[in-house]
Amino acid sequence: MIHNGWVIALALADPFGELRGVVAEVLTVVIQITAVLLALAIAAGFLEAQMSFVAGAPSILSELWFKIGAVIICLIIALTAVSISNTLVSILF
Amino acid sequence: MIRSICSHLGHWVDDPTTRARVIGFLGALVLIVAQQGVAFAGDPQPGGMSDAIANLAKMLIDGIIALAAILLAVGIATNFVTGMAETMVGRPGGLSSTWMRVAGIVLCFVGAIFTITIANTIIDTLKAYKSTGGITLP
Repeated sequence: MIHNGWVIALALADPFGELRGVVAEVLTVVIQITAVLLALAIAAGFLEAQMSFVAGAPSILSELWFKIGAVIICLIIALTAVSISNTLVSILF
Repeated sequence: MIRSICSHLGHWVDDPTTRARVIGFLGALVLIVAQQGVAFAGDPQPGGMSDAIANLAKMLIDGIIALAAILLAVGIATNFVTGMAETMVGRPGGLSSTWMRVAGIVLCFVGAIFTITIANTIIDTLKAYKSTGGITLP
């Protein structure tokens, strides 16, 4: 009985605690996937540029820097997702 | 053995279609039971999802580096063949562009090789901006 009371008290203290934990885990996995995608984008971009050099169209190398820049911006947004979300919630509510 | 099973089943199931279905179901059951060990044959202390993602990325990047090495060899060979042909037909200026192309190919190869270092540097730099606070709910 006392144990059930503690559980109820904890649930009332933070009713969305479990949900917050799950969302934090999901965000961690998403950020890891974003970091992996950054590495893959860099590798694939250099491979593509190398292919373009072999094929005789070296101007594709210039697009690589924009691609890497866009991927870095996406990584920054993924890293600051919680801050952005909190800011929006505090503005809207 | 299959023939004896079929003959035993023939006593219980008269319809050939139903008998075929029962045999197919039993075969699938045997396969499932026989292959069950494969599913349990993993590492007793497996790593988390982070390790799996990192290993997958490393494997993919290794494949990309291998492709880049092949392209390096192909690029150097084809560009020098082009330069040789241009020199042979009386336009030796094409050879100078060969050096620039080879330099570009080598630059891209170096970029592909140092992918993990570049990515780690970027991630370590941006790690300071990671959100640390909790999620605000309305």
